[in-house]
Amino acid sequence: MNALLLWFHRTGSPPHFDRFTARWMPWCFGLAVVLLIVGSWGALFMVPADYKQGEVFRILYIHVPAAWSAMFIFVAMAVQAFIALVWRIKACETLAVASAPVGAVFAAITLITGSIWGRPTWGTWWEWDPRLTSMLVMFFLYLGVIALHNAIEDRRAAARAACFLALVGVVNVPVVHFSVHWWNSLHQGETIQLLSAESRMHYSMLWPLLLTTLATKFWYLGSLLQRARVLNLENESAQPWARALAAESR
Amino acid sequence: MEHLHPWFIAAAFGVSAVLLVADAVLPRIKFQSLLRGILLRERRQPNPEHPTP
Repeated sequence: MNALLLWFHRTGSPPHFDRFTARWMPWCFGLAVVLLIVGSWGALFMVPADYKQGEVFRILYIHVPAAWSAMFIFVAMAVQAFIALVWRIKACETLAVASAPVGAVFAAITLITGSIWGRPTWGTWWEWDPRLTSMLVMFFLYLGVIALHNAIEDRRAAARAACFLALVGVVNVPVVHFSVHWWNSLHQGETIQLLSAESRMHYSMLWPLLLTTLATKFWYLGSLLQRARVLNLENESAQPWARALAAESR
Repeated sequence: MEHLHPWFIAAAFGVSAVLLVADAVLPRIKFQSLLRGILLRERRQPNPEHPTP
């Protein structure tokens, strides 16, 4: 068997999956925290104030990476859900279900920080604008996936139902992304193009954003592994490896 | 309004930090309580190797 396929199947077995998550989770969280601290320090103390918005623009160093991550996590969750539904891989079911709370946290951060930024900039905490409304819909979709998973008693059926909702809900991601182009929106369009040299943001103001963006990705990985580990133990609590793990922790 | 900007910035970063800390800590607490639950269940179950008379 192909070595990669063998590794994939071995990692998919619950005891190996537990060891894998326990090993990599601290590294992901550690990297995320270091990048967050350096990025936030740069955003708060090293970057010059914006000539139009003044100091309040510093909120965007947490708002924008959180929004990008909320969209990225939804796509990742839908891919995991697709693999789980088509190939019936239990580990992918677990990963898809574990992605939802992390995505919900980032969507909540996006909405709250956006609202705090909007008050001094737009003069309002909230506006029923296409970008804001579609992001709120995304937050509710995340909550829907979590609620559906908790509402069904049979764990496999619950995971499959949650995966199905994640797959259906992914249609909202392009709506969030293109809403500023499709409709007349109060929300500004794209200022930053990470993969293009023609970014309209100067590098002296861009670097903390790159760091906080990378930090949110590592945070997602760490939190995903931690939550997947909890779900794995919950589903396998009667197995000998879970009992051995509990005995070890005493 | 500009004199309030530092407060808005502090609120945004503070709320984000609280949410992220909760995201990291709550699953950890649940994991520990699951382990405790397994141990408790083990203790309650009668040991089949030493049947009580």
